Amino acid sequence: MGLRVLIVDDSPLMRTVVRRVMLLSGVEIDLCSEASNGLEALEWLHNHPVDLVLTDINMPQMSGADLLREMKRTGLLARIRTLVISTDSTDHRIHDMIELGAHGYVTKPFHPEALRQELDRVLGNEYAG
Amino acid sequence: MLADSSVITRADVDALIVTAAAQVLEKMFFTGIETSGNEGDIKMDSPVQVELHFDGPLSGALRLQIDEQVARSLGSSLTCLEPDEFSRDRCVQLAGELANMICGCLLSHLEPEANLALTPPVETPEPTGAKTGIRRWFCLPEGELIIHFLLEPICDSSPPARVSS
Repeated sequence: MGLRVLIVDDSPLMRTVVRRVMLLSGVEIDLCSEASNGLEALEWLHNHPVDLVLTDINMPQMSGADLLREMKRTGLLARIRTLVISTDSTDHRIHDMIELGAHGYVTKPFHPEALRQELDRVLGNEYAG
Repeated sequence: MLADSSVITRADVDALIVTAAAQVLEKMFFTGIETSGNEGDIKMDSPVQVELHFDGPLSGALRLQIDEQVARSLGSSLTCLEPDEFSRDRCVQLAGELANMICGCLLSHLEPEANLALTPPVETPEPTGAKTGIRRWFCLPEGELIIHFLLEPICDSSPPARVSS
């Protein structure tokens, strides 16, 4: 079975870019959905099965950090892999997001190959194409 | 990263603007800077201008101006969509994302350990010709791009940064 992915970013353009990299990554994907903030993402996650969440941090209504907090509180983090994609490359931010439960972190700007490698690391061999 | 972060000169910031822009353009847009400068005027047929602010140990703003045609071309490289699929709204989004990435990259060079908050980029009216800050233009194979960076100096000499001209 392929991967069910949720891309969370307030920029439609970045969602398109991440979706494109995902589709070209060789990872087998069944469904690739999108949300424009953490709140929309949570609503989707409570109603649909998802295997991987790729999320930005700075978003209106609910940030990526708050999304991870809520996913942890509701038990979603125990069964969903999460990868943060952000322009913030500071050590403390990366540390904070990993502490909150993120399984991986990619800094923008990124080479598509860098995102693919981090995906491989986060997912292991389970979904490799 | 700067060797001595206690004093950041205008020349340091100017050089880092070029570094940050080059990194973003190369990694995300598969393009490069042909020439760059501070002086002179760049005429754009249909400019799109966005601005974002940052706050924390450093505060200020970054404005980015790009012609719609150049935004379409860069957007096409970024997304693999056709340039004519880029409406003006999409060009504004592209400019915002470009500004966001360049600003984030620049700030990570200026203050790698700082906790800085960035506002979402918003479209702003055409430049007023303000004389403050650092203005740098870039010639890319796709066309021109202008970055205007305003960094509010921290008045005392305490770390992490003081800007001198």
